[in-house]
Amino acid sequence: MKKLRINSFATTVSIVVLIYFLIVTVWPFVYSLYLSFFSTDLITKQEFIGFKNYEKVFTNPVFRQIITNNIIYLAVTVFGAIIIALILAYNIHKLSGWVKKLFLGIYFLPTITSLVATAAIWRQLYFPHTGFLAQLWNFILPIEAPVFLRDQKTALFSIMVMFVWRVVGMKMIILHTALDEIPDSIIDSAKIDGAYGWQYITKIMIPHIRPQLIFLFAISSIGAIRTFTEVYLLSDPVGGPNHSTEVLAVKYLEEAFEALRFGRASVYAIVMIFLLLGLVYIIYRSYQEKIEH
Amino acid sequence: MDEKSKIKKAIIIIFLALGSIVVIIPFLWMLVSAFKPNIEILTLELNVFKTTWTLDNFRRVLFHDPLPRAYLNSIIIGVSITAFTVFTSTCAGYLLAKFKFRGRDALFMLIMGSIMIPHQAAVIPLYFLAGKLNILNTYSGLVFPFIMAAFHIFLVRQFMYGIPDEVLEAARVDGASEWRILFKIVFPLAKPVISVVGILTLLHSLDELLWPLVVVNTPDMQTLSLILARYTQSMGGPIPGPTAAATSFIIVPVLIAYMFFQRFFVKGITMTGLKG
Amino acid sequence: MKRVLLILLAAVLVASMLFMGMGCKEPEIVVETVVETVTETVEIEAPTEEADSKIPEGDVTLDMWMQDSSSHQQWLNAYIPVFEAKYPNITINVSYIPYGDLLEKLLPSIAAGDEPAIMHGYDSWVTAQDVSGIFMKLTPDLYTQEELREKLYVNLALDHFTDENGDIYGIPAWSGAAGGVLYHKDVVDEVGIDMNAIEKWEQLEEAGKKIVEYYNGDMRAFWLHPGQLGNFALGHIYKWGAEDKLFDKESGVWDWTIPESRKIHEIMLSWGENGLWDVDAGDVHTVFPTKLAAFELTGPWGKGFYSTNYPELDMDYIKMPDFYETDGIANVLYHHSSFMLSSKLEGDEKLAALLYVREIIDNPSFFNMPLEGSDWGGAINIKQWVDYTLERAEAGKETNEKVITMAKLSEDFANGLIDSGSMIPRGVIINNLVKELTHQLMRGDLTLDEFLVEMTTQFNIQEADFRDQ
Repeated sequence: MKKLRINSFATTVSIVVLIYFLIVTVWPFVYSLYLSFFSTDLITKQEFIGFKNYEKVFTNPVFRQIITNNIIYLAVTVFGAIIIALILAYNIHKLSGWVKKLFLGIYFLPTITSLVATAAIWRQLYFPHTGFLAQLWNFILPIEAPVFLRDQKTALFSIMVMFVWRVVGMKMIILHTALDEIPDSIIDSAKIDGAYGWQYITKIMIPHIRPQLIFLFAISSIGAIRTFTEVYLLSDPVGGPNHSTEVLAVKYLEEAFEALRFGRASVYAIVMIFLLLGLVYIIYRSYQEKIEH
Repeated sequence: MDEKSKIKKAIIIIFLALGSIVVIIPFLWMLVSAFKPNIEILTLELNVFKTTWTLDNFRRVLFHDPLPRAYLNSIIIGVSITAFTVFTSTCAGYLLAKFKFRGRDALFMLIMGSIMIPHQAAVIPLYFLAGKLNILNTYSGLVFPFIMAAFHIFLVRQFMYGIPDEVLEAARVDGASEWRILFKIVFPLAKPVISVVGILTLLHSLDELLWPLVVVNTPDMQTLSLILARYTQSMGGPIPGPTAAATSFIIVPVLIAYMFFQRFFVKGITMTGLKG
Repeated sequence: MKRVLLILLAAVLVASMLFMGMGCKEPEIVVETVVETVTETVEIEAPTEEADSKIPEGDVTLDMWMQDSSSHQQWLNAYIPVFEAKYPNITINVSYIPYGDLLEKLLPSIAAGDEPAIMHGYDSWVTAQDVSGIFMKLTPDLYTQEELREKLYVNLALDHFTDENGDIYGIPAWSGAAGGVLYHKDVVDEVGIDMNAIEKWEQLEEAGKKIVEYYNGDMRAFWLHPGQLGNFALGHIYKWGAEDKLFDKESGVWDWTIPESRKIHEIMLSWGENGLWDVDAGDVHTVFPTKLAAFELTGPWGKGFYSTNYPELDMDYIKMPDFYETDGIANVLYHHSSFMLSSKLEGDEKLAALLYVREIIDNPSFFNMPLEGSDWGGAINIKQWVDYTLERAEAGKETNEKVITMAKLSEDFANGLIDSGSMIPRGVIINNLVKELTHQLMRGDLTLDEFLVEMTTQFNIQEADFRDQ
């Protein structure tokens, strides 16, 4: 009787969840895979062309640039943001009282604001010559300010700066609570053993917050491969000067909605899916290691 | 010893304060520019006294553009999505953590797999589906792809591992139905993770851009993200004044609300036990 | 306490929204006076007997999507009430959508069956598509093929909407792609330049040099809107008779290394050397208002855009001077504001939609409405309007200078259009190809030789891609 009750609950919830995720996960995947073998604009034609789309995508000289963009984005927004967040968390952790709360609050502000709103603001700040950041730069530094979003050398980096500015707060709070949880006994025995500064950080602090670090690495890197909104909104033209801000998700948009080549767009989606698969596997393995630790 | 640590603290505070300035500058710019005419924002009229302060930007975004309506829509949509997500995440997280059944791990894999499907690829098939169901340009259409979230199911599941089985067993022995257990025991215990899930979902719902773009056809169904995106994109180029005014209007209330909820959120993260 | 504050905050928020008026308010347009000036002419152009049978009997409501540029909105906000007054059983619900969004939504919505009855878009969006599967076939229900080609000037634009049987699927109504020179009146007055005397580009360049000299390099001469930049080199090459060397329509192969191409780009490089043009001066629409440049090459809609957002500016506009070393200009990258109808309409709805489009073509008075007191301008593709206006001007009945200018501009524009034959969408040519590479050239990232080769390579890649599908 009890078993039945438990079973019916479990069954209901499982089935509902299953159906939902079949619709939003499996079906789009299958559909994208299917379309990737066609040349289609979804209205007037749908022509089977086998692997031709894949060939076109992989032989496109810009493809390498696109993947590179995603990797650079990953490197900077994951490592960069986490390192900065760690430094901030470490310092804030040493404070207490209202000062600590104040700083926690301030650094967290960018995270709670709408991404689209902050993109709109930063677009203004990045205006060449007359923009606030350009003026500030020229005021402080002797060299001429770059044109940020319109220069292929600085466009992606400018977007990443904005993104890191935005996500640091969240990571900082997570790391900060992690630091809070290191038992005093450990800290004390470290002091007794004479482990200060750098030794303390590497041998004791980091191992203790390893789970949170892995967690942050995981979600940040997944986000970096999937990144779309801020890159799209801050790119002029779409894809940036000389493809410098063209990431996979943006390329998908270009191919699907602007060129109406849904087949080829689907190839980019498949590429993203496989990259994420690889990433998830790496994360899964590092969790496994942690358990064996 | 005291002196040294005092100095250390002071240095830390200065360092953090400088960082804070960097963090706040964009918001300051936004607030100040919202009250200036476009031309003065562009020419960066820094002298506070020479500026002609004006409410024109606000007038424009509030009367000319459907910003108030979009605000309302985004609130409705955001709250709906959050309510659904909180409920489904709690149910599913609880299920995955506390129940053993065949296919449980497979189901979990499927759910986690959804993180790998990029939004863009899902837009087209879901758009066709919404068309067939005749819910395009409606609240349901805007909400349905978001009623469950893999990431939050994961968070709740992690949290649930921390709940002792004895409590649940005891309730079962007493004869409580599963649903009763869910509502009377699980939900209250899950408050910390629920607040995290709730806040994150609410904030994130404002950022959805691609889906509203294809689904919304009329001015009365616009969302905040759509309106804001226009300020970066309009064919004539991004116009500073209205951008600043619209973003102020959106950001300031969130800031104020945040000041009230900060404690819950931090507490929630602590107790969620993000220990993997 | 906290709870009270929270409730208070929520109440304030709601109150302020209610107070400020929720819901979308349309831009203020004085409709009353417009109706006055129009009623007279509307009677003159009464529907013919044939048209009578094509008026729907029941009540019809049609959805419409239109680009949200201020000029389009002004026109439509004035036009729809008059149309609805003339045909009281028809109601039109229009949604204004920004250009980018509209571009991305239009075709997918047709695929999903969600498109509105009446669509506004651009002919350049469907260059690579087979229109017969997308929009409603307009001939012969609207007019016969011959009639329609008579009534609209630019047959080249119509070609984008024509299928292999000659049937037509869209109406290119007007174009803002005509280029001209927007200038600061106070600046040219100060330096002492008579803009109305400028008829050739060589003269414009001279004027530009004077300005740069006067302001010691603090102000540039030119700023080019991407659409005009896109057309500049192409237009010159065509005017100099080298279009076949540049692009082979049959094979779809481009060659930008030809001497004419080199020549025009050398001219542009000289602008850079003389300080006339700085591609990094600013963002698309920040350079002109901040007076970083005295002239902006843009469409006639530019003046309206700037006066809405920067009312302090004192500006005026002259039409594009003749190109270097030639007479006249060429518009290779034109595009037209077009109306298309949904292929899924039937019965009364179909009749009503056809009626809407017919009134635009047949009732010239509709176009006059927004011009009173607005800064909109463009080349009208509808012959009847141009003829009608020029007739009235001659008879002294039309005295509005702006209206007369537009009529004349429309004839010039139509005659200056050239179809490149490329299948690359206009937007891609302008933004991804010409603007990107030309900026690199002007910045010195590419030498002239490298630039010409790179243009050739990139154009060919894109052309192949679009021809392939």
